[in-house]
Amino acid sequence: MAMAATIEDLHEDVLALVLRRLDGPSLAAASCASARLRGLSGDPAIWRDLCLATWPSLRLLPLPLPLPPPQSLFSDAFPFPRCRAQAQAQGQSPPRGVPPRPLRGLISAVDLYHRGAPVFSRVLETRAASPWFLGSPFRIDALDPKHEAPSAAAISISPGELTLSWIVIDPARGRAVNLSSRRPVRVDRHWFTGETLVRFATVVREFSVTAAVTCGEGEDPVREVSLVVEDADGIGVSGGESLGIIGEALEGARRGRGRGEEEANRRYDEFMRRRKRRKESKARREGLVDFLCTAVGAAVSLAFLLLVALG
Amino acid sequence: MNSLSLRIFLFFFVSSLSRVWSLQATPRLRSIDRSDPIRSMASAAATTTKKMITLKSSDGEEFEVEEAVAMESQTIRHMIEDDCAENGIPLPNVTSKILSKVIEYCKKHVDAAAKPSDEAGAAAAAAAAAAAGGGGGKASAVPEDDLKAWDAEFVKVDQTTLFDLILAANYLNIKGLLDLTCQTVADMIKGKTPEEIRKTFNIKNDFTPEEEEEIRRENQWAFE
Repeated sequence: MAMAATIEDLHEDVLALVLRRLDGPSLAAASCASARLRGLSGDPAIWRDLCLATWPSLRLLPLPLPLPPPQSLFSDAFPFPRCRAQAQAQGQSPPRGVPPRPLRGLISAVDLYHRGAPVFSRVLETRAASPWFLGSPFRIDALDPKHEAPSAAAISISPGELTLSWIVIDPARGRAVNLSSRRPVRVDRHWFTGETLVRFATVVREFSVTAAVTCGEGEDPVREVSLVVEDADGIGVSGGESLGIIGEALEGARRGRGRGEEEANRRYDEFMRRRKRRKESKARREGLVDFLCTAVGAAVSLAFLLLVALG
Repeated sequence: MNSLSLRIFLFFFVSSLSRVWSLQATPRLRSIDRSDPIRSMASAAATTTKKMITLKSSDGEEFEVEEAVAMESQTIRHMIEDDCAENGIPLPNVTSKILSKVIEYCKKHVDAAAKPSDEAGAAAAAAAAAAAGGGGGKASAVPEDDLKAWDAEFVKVDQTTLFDLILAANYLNIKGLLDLTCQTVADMIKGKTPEEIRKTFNIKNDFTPEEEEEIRRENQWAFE
């Protein structure tokens, strides 16, 4: 038997065993190495297993749905969405020149992990055609305490160690995007109820798409999981406009795990700083207006008194 | 008197005849006993302790292993069960260097699997004697870590040997060794860019520049 000098001498089924043990980015890197590795790493079964292992909620998807192929689903949902301006600056603008069709419906696949282990998985379908949805503030509830008893495992959760993945899939276009920042951007504890609100937000244009998880102590640690879209002043955005924002995120470019996360966090910090500045400048403006009104009022009344006193 | 001696003579004659018949019925055993005293000792020992299997590598070297060790390989296990293993098992796809390493692996894992039952018994006895439950749990966990450390040292070999081990484990159908070696190769690929992967494994880049550009763009998300 000739000595195996390279990895190329391994049989295909043996190489497939090796490729199955890789994580997503390594598998994609291996597929760029040579034509043979590309052929082997393109096997949809390997990518399907990788998707199911990374996001257990995908198991709950009803099967007849037209979904994007596993490799493109992974490459869409694993990295972070980029904002268009920065992507264009780096020469990575999306190749599609056709203006996107409006979104008719969304599928959300939500996975909450504590210390890396999944604690909550849910799949929901959102129909986006009704005028009520398009007019009212955008909100998707993956877990609503008013309508159902939370079913997460009864373990003690430390909110800082939660990670969330909220994948929005557009079945019509076959694209997906992960709108969560994976790690929390903010953890706030409510002094009165004792519940903790953990926020996972990404910034698209000048809006923030925030997935919020409410957790507390006791037997049902995860109380509420929801997705909202807010503008620069923290006000909820209507359903119709939100769909446009999500559509932009779907069509936009993606940035990988390492620098993608840094960039996403930086954008969010900038967004929050801008919001604070706007609030402060608004408060200053109103203070000035108040002062002017008071001054005008005082001047008018003084003038009136003088008029009465002199004449 | 005559009839008595005749009967005695006939008795001895018939018994010696029967001895000759029985000897003729098993000539092989006799010839083995004569030609290979070591083998005869082994086969004598076989009836009392463990059966030995001979494995022949592609370059003619022979290795004697215990049956339990050889049965780690599903391929060899089937051959033994189908009674094809009497004269030794030829393995034309495996060189002696690789075969000795494979046998070393199988021996270590068979010994490690046999130990915990003894160690668990000893640990249980010690725990019962000391009336402290914590020590018993730790004693059974340590051999597993030792085995993992041994496995990690075992695969610290050059690439050629590693790939030969994979091919041998695949041919001989040894699940543990195949998993271990495939995981080692996967760990060598993890976290590397395509250029680094090509450099590590000496792979030729057979893409045209246009193909390479397209593939890069498709997989841009993976290495940033």
